[in-house]
Amino acid sequence: MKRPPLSDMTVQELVENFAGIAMAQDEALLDRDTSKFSRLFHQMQDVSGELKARPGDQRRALLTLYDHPNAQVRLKAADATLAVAPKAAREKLKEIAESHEFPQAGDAGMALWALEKGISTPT
Amino acid sequence: MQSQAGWQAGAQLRRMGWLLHAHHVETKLLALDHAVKANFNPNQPRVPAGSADGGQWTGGGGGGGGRNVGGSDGSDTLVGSDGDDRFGDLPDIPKERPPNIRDRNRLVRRIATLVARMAGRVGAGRAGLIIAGLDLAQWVYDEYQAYARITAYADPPKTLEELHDAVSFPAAGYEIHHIVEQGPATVEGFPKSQIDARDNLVRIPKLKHQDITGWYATPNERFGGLRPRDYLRGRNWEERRAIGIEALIKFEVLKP
Repeated sequence: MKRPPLSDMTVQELVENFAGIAMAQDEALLDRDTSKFSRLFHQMQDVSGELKARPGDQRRALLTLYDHPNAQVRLKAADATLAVAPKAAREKLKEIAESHEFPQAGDAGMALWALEKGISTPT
Repeated sequence: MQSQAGWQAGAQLRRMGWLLHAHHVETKLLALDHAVKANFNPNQPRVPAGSADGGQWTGGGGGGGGRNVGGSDGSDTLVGSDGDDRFGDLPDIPKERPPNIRDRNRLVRRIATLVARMAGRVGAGRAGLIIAGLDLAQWVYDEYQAYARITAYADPPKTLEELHDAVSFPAAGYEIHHIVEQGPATVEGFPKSQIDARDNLVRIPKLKHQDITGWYATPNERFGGLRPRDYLRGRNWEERRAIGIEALIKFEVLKP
């Protein structure tokens, strides 16, 4: 069945879509499938961009994924909310970095390091 | 020359062996999943080897404990949070041996990574104990000699000197890693003598090597949506090394 365009989805549907993409990323990481991960990365950017474009920047809705059972979902939710909830997002990244759940723990640690070094600014 | 009947009997035995091992791994994975969710304590007393329940955890003592291995109810040892389901679905072990090596490798990688993730939850120093206690990897070892990969993944972080020194001692479960990535550095004209110098080489667990290489090779929001490997293109040796060292620390290979 063909998916509706992102612009037709509710915020809740976009959040669910975001979580689904992150779980597929986790599978791709387990399979060391970097091509698949890259495709999913860009799909996730589209979903995040759609949430950002909604009135009031609806990326805050991703905060509901902070306690998701899947580490990749938590990691990506934290990353995507850095601009709208910086304190909570950094705390979540720190928690993941200390979780020993790899590769997400390493990715979270590197994200915090990159933020500290000013390599990129969340927008 | 082996007869047709003998070949068929051998094939049937191998098939049965796979089935038995598959059941064994499913049981052990389930046990490990429950154990980690219940804040497993590897020092908890266990039934001595030799008895019918040898190796299973007893109900007494210890702050944690998982469901008894072997499928019994085990309610006396199930403590801790039942609500923590952070590992999602465990992989299904196919009841037939996957016919090609690609699928078999994929299966082992999935199991090994999941086990290592679960074990990592209770601390790198204790992961080896857990894996050994659950006797999980015997099947993996038999089929793919992947046991070393799993145990190496549980290594605690080491000093840079230790990682450099280990390069001279190849071992199963480990690989040689270039702190400044070899491929891109070669393409961009850094001399081979610098790329392969002692201070750029470390021996690290193979699965961590794959984790780090995967991190370099996948797009990353914190590097402007670029793969870190692409972000580093055109940058000097020192910048590449700084990120390489940091990655070793964050992936808990190198002591901070």
